[in-house]
Amino acid sequence: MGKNEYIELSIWVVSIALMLFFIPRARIREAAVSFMFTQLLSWILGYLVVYFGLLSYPKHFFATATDTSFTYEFLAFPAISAIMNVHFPTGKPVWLQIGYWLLFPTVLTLVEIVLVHYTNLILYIHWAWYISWISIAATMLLAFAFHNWFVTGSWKRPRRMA
Amino acid sequence: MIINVLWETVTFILIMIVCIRTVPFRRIREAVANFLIMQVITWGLGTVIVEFKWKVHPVRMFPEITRQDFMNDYFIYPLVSVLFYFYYPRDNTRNAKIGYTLAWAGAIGLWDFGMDMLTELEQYVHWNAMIHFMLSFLALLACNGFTHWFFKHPFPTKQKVESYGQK
Repeated sequence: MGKNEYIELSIWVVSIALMLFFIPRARIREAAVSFMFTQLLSWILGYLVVYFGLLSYPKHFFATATDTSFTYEFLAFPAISAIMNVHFPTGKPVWLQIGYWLLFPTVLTLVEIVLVHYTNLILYIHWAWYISWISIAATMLLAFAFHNWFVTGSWKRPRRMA
Repeated sequence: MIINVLWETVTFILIMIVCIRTVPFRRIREAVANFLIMQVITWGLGTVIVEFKWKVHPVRMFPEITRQDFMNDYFIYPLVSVLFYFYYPRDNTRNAKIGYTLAWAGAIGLWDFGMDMLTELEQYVHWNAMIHFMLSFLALLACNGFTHWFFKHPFPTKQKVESYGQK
């Protein structure tokens, strides 16, 4: 195993640890539905970006099976999205809610930039960091709307707190 | 070969029609949850199966970027799982439930075997219809059990909305 494999393995460990740590037992069903819906989106979107040659993943797990990043699309991104949806600061000031939502794509994009520069896990072809940021933010917003619809019956952000 | 396209489209359209006629709108959340959990299983298992070349899919969607059968794993098996869930004889005897599940797993096994024999959509390498039958049996029951557990306290509930935002 080289550097790339260790880093990819550590993404698995960190994602699972984050989910275990940040998802309370009482809200595991909400987290599950966010996680799975984000997978539905990331599976097809991940295929499309590689299919059109915008991105490539030179080194990744399951290289025989697929050319997309199974680790990121199956586990890491859905895990982060689930954590974001479960901990959304309902009932707090609007600027805090917007800041909270913007925080997640920013952190993910920063991690991605580091991976692009220092590893072989991801390679930009016709891509830039801000496209990553926009696509991650949009996907997470869609997953958030779905989560709200599933849990509360309305896709809008819940306003009140008990 | 025309049979490849026919096999996929006929299966997809038939299952879509039955699903639309089966799932009532007020129970859409159950269908969604069941669909999504089956996708998790088929994505994971499908990737492992083609990674170790237990099966190959000579004709498939997105041939440049994946060796997995995207059509089956993304749409068809999850939709089958939804149908299985909605017709499951929940109030019947244990034997009826086992027989029902065996019949569905058998039908999936036969369908998959037919795909191996008649079309280029897949070829078994280290695989057979029996393994497929057993995996389908377990996966259908697992998804059914998951969805049943998921909706013990139904979504969306008033209580859930009020406690929203609390840990």
